[in-house]
Amino acid sequence: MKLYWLIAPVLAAAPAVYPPEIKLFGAGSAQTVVTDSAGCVLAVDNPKVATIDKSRIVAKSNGAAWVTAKCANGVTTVPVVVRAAGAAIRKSFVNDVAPIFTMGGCTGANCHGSIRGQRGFKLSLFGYEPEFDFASIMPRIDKSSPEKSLILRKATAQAAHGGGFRFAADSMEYKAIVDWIRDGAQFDSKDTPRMVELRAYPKEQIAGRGASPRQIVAVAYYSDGTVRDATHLVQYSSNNPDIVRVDSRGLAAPIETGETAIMVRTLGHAAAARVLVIDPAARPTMTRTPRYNFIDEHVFAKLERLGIEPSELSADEEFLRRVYLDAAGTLPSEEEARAFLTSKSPQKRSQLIDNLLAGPEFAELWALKFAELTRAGTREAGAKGGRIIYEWFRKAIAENRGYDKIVTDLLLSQGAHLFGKGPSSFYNISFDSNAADHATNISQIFLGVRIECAKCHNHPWEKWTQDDFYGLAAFFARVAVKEVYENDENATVYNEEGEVIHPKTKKPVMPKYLDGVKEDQRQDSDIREALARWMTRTDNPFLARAFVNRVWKHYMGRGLVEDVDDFRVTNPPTNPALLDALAADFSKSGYDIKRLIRRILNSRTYQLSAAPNESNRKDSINYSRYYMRRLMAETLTDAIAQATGVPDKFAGYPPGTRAMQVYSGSSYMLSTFGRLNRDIICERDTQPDIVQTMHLISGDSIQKKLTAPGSAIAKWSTMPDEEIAEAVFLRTLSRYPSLREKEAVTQALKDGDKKHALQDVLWAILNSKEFLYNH
Amino acid sequence: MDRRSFLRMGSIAAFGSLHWSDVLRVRAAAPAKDLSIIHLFLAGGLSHLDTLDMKPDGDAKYRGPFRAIGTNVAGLQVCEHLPLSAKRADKYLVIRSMTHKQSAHGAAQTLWLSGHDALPTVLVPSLGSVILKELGPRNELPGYVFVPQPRGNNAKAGFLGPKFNPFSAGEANEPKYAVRDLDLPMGVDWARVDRRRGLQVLVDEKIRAYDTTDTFDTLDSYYQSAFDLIKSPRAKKAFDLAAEPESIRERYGKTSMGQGCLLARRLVESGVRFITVARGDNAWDHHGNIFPTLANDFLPELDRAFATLLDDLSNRGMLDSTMVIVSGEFGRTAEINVNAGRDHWPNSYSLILAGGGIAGGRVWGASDADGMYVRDSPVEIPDLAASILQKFGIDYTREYVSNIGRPFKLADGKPLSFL
Amino acid sequence: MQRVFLFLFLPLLVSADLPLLEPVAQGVFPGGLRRGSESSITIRGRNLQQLKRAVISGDGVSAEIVDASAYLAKITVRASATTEPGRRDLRLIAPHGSTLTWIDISDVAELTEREPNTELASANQLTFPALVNGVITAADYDYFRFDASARQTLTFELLATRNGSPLDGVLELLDTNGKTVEYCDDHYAFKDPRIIHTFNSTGTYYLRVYGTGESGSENSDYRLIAGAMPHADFALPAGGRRGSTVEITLHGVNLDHAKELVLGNGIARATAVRNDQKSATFRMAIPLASAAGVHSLHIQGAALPIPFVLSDGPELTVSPGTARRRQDPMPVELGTTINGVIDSARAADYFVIRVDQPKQIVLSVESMKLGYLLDPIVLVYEENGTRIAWQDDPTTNTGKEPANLDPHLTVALPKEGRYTVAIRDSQFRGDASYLYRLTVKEAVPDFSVRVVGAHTTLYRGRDNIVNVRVRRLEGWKTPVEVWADNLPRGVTARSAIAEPKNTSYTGTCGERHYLDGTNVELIFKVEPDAKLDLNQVTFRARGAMNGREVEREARARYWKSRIRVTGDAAEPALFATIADLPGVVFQTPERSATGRVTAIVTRLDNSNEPMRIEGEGVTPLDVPAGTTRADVVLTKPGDVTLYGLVSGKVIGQSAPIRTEIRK
Repeated sequence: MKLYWLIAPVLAAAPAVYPPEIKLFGAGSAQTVVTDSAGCVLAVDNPKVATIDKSRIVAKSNGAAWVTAKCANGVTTVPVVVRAAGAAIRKSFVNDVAPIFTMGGCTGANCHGSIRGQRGFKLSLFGYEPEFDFASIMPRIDKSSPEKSLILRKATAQAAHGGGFRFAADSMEYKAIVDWIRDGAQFDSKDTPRMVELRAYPKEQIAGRGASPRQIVAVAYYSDGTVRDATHLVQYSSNNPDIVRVDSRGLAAPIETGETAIMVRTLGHAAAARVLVIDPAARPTMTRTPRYNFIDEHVFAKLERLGIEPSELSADEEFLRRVYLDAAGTLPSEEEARAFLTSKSPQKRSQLIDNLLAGPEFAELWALKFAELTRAGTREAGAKGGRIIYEWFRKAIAENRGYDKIVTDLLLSQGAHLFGKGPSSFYNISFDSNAADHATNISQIFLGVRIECAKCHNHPWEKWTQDDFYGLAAFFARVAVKEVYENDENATVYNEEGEVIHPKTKKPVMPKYLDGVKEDQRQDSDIREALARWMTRTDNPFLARAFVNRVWKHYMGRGLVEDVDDFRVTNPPTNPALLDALAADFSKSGYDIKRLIRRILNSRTYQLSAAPNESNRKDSINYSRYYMRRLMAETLTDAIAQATGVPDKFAGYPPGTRAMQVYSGSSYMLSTFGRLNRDIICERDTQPDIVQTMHLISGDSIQKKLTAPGSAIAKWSTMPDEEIAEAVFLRTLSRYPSLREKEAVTQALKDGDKKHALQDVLWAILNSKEFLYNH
Repeated sequence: MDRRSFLRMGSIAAFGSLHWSDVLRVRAAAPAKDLSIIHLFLAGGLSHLDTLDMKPDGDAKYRGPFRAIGTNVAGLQVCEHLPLSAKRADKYLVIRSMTHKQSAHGAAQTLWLSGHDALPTVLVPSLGSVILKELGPRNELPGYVFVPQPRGNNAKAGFLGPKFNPFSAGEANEPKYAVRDLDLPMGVDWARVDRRRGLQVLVDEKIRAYDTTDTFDTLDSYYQSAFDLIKSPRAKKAFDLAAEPESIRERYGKTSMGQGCLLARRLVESGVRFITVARGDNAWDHHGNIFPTLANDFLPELDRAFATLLDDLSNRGMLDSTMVIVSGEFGRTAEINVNAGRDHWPNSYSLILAGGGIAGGRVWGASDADGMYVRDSPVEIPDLAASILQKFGIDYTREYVSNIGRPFKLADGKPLSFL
Repeated sequence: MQRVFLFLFLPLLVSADLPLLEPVAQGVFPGGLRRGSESSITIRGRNLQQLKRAVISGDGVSAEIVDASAYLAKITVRASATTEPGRRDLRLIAPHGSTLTWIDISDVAELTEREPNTELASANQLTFPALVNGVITAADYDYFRFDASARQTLTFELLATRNGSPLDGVLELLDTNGKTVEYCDDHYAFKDPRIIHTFNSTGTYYLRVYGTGESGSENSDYRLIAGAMPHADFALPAGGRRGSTVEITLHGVNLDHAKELVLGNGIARATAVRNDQKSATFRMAIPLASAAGVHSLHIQGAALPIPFVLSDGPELTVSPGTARRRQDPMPVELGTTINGVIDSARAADYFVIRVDQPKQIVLSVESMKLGYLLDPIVLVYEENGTRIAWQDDPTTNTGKEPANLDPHLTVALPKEGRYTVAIRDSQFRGDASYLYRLTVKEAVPDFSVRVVGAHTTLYRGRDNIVNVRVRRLEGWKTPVEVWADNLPRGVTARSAIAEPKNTSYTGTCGERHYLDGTNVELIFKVEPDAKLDLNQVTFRARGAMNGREVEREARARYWKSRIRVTGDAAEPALFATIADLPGVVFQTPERSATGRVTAIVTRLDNSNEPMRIEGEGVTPLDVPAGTTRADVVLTKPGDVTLYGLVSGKVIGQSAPIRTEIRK
């Protein structure tokens, strides 16, 4: 029995037909059509306008008609319009021939698309420069007898070809090239329409594991408004072939439960179609989970579509320890733990969240994250510059200054690095402070766009071109570092002159925003003001989404877009509706950071237990439970100091400084557990390794604290035996000990030296996964 | 490399033409599997004009005060402050035509330690980490050790993940040297360790069920291998410098590089594959007062350490299975600056390669009269990286896919046939 | 003086191949004394042995050498009760050379910190006004406890790098349980911190002083000024015409206590006409006979002076914000000096001038020169708005020598008409204390000349190089001849020509930079029988341009101001000591723990006889003539001195080496 794509809960909805509206231009044009449920019968109400050929609608004569799809779960009709049915479409090199080389894989980085080409035949990477490709191909065609063209003999492996067989002599690709050569093998005239957008359908679909492959349809939109079926013109690839495999024809086969996107790419354009693969056998009993706010609406909506059951609400102990560590980076004290666990007030969770957001530790945690993101403390401003930037962020976060104002101050930052008032050494963020590096770093941390791939060639999977890269870099052409007073006193200045030269055109580049609008550098004006206005507009498509994604990852363990600063069409968010809602709510609230975080922490999604259930055991991307993760290096270090009652001393910092307040520099413990030395901007690595483990076992970060005078052990050893276990567990794991844990502790105390026993108990807790992981 | 420059090299000053025995010796080198590397990394940049590529009759304005002295290989001269190395020139190859374009420490060290140019958003893995990932450690000892500890990210595993980071051995020249965290803490015996591990399992009972991605199993495996390492007599012995007779420690020199090289030899004997020995933090970056600093401190330290290491390895029959590289991340300028120092200069510099089956007593390539640009047979680092990987039997053309999806070949160059 | 910092500017004077033989003062502790008191002051440095005299500029303050050894000297300083407060030159004179440093005379009692004070519990109690002298060694913390009342404003100012100390200090204000309320690492350029805090609740507070990143050494001394004494940030206007009466308003805190204002060492006095917490206004008559140039204003009871310029042209004061609109700039006559403040970010002041024919004008700014932190940029626009000229810094600052951020722009106005002149911070910053004096006048080509440094040693029987810097102003384009005057008997120095091209030098990465002027070398030939004595040599320079003869006299300059700007020495002349070169110079470490010392040896007696090194507690060692390094073994603890003998005669000795021979 062929497995239906659809699963019971989804069947109720009417079938969908893709593309949702069909436009056919020119004689013989056709559009491949696909539905989201199998076994549908297609019919056209007016056969004179268009007819059905297997799954393609073929144009007959100008006019409009309706295509109806009769499927098991109902009927859907889509309009079809045919124009210029009579006119034979003139074969265009750019639109018809060049894409074939991308689809065939010829323009890949490991073949003719690489910097040095292959065997003397060089094409532009993924066909982003048709003119260049035309010039390379012309010497390889034979106008008198097209079939003898070297390009065709190689592609069909009639001639020895390192790249092997690409397409057959009777294929559409072969025919398109031959027709073009017969048509005079001309390059396009100036007014030939150019592709402006590429779409993949269906945008999002759900598939049962092991179901039969489904066709992904691609539609190309051109500058003169015409539309064409590009299904056979694009290169298909899957972001995660273990979940969905796709062949060169665009047939996507769902392999394993999970979620990924199929990338569709040609002529420097790209689009993505998301596929969610679920376990058809799982029959969850869908109880309606209460929603606390709009975040839960979006998260639970998707879980229901996937048939995944969210875990229970977290117990008070779990929530208490988790929200302290996530929001303040500290453990609750024994008293705070007892107070919360014994409180009966129904608002005790939202009240605790408000207290934590108002506390100084919250500001210190985010100040440290921002300091790391802006590489504070590096280059010639050194630790002093690092402290100025850290303190500036700490004050801004504590006062809940709008994120748009924070970003504006950073972009416009300037002045002496060491005795400046604001974040004057921000532009140290770039390795050797040139405009191109500023564009790379600022687009990555504020806009979440990895634009530096477009520095040397067009972005391989995104629409960013070199012009986009150098247009953004031009905003920083006049930012420079100048020495003032003496050799270690430097200042960032905005010069009166200076521009960015495009490496290809060798001409100065006009500043251009990522959405293509140009800005001119007027005399006596700082063009970064215009860039700041553009970035902080509430409708800016990048700033709010990039920031909420970063905040979401800190509290939920995984970004809606992963990596957290890699927004691109071909790397779609796992819950687009949720990301858009969070971003809109954030930007319209005046970029209120505490309000955003308060909403997340008060959502039921955040407060779900970390214990998986049968249906969400495999889910790791849809937030069906709280994802466990190891503590941040600073949080872990402070937690050990708090649990043992022995503070750390960081070299260069006054006594009493906590790890979260160490604004730059590091310690052996902090570096070993993932603190970056800020050479480049990247995510921290939270995987465990053997050096960390050895340090936890016998390193002095724990061992010295276990034996230090005046530690918590000294306090416990003066308490009556039966009270010790509870005091130990409340102070370290913020929960009461289980019966067996209580017995084990009292047994250890009886076995001999009381101090040794307490040291062993505390060692065991500090090395336990419950202590090392937030859950 | 084409035959032409190989032959012509033979004609440079009469230092004996290549015999078949040399060619044979090359092929008899250690099979890939049990090859090891000790890299004396002179971070900060070695002034080639004052050490390995001296220009006695070059422009006086660029010449330092050091005299060139002969070695036990006719025609090959080195600086007067490397007397011990001069007597062992038959054991190593001097390359005088190294070149690259990175003049800043960070970028140059990333290029040197990984074989790739630094990129703003990707941490490329170091060569040591690649070798550790491909071949794995030989025993419970870490496969890649850095003496004293890596400065930045460029000596680490980058996107390969911390599993392949180098193990930091700490400063070998400490009076009572002991590697960090390798012994049970004071007063804790194995009985208490068992009690501690029992309590640890008890506390984790409930949470163990929460893990769906076997992260906890991986963590447990690390606890097991950590205890194996602490228990392992081999590890104790490998890091136990005090076990070496005082005479050997004195010959290596009571310096960072000296004791570092001794520790490196012991680690190779105990099965570690890749050891980098460095001194301080860009200690060789002499922008000022370079000549007394080199003459009184740095060159005597390097000379004793390197010469003794060569003798020690060959006496113990380890030289053919242990490749020794002596290099900075670039050379230094010919022009002497206002503070009587030399500045960064990547366009032409020199290094030493010994052991691992590489024929000694040779010079490869040459720089121009002032030692500023390569005159013939330039050598790039990607090619050196490819050669090293090939000697380890690793297919250098394979690719890793980085965390941002950008493919990286293990080595961008092609193996150098003269190694 | 040169409290010498890491980068020695002094060697410009001594020819490169000689090791440093002249006396050098690196630390003066305590750095001053109260009027009407006597104080014993320690001076740390090098080559301080055989100091004979200590001379203090101005009257009412005298000093005498108590004892002097190579690295340490002790002097006693007496200040009369009526002498004027302020900064005085302190010259230390020895047979082998002299050096120049400074000392502060103030109204505040000088205290010294009492260790241990490294935690809250052991904090030293502060009573205001307080001037505490202390030292920060590595990872040392100095805590001070004080009481403050609600709405009281207190200033805490740390003088360290400004006084030449290597301390890079940090000030932290802590509440009663030690939590940081406010911190400052660098308030000024050059790493000195300052905190001005208004307390909102009465109580006990703490102040914590430490080196940034826990840096410090026994040389890292500091002077902490704390209290509610009047503290002025700047004066507006910052200068006045000689012979005129000027209404000067000082801006800062606690100025309601500011009663009397004194110009220089008593040149003129004024009493306050208007006072409030934040400002005090004085009407002061400036005597015609007073010397033009930079002086200082002292508020009675304040700790630090405020710079004030006496000039000869018309002065205009622009209160902040009144010249901010580009469309209607404030009209100004050529030759006027404008006093203004750039008090908000991205702000600029606009002025309009009229010329009736093409003319060369000069825009000269004094701001960094007066110790203010503005980094001025001047721009000139034609009437239709096109910019025809602008200048930020006269030359690139590479740390090779003292920086100069004050523009000096000469621009040719192409035709008659109105031109807009703008001034703003080149880093688009703004601050209430960013004060400038902008002089807009017709360019009269001129030049300034100064000797680099205030003292040198000329050795008999040798050629000694003295560097003189000529700086071309307002379009001067012809060569300038420089010569030395009143040379002592037996000393000759031919004049030298400074070509109209700035001296160039190479940066660390090989790129080309230019000094702000032309350095010329005068070779001083000293006869072997010239008299061993201290002389004051003056320098003059002469040049002609457009038929106009100009002659200028050089003034000796050295470091001495709130931020590291060269200021004029009290005496304009160069203190030149004629001395004999020792036969040999030993450069040895100050201490030796092992008794094994490597001495760098420089033979100057140009004989190729071998030399014997010996001395009490020194294992004798014979070294051939060309030796540059001698490994000497010391056998007895305590101060050991190496003597160099050639054929039995002592030709030179080392500084004493403090030895402890630990087994």
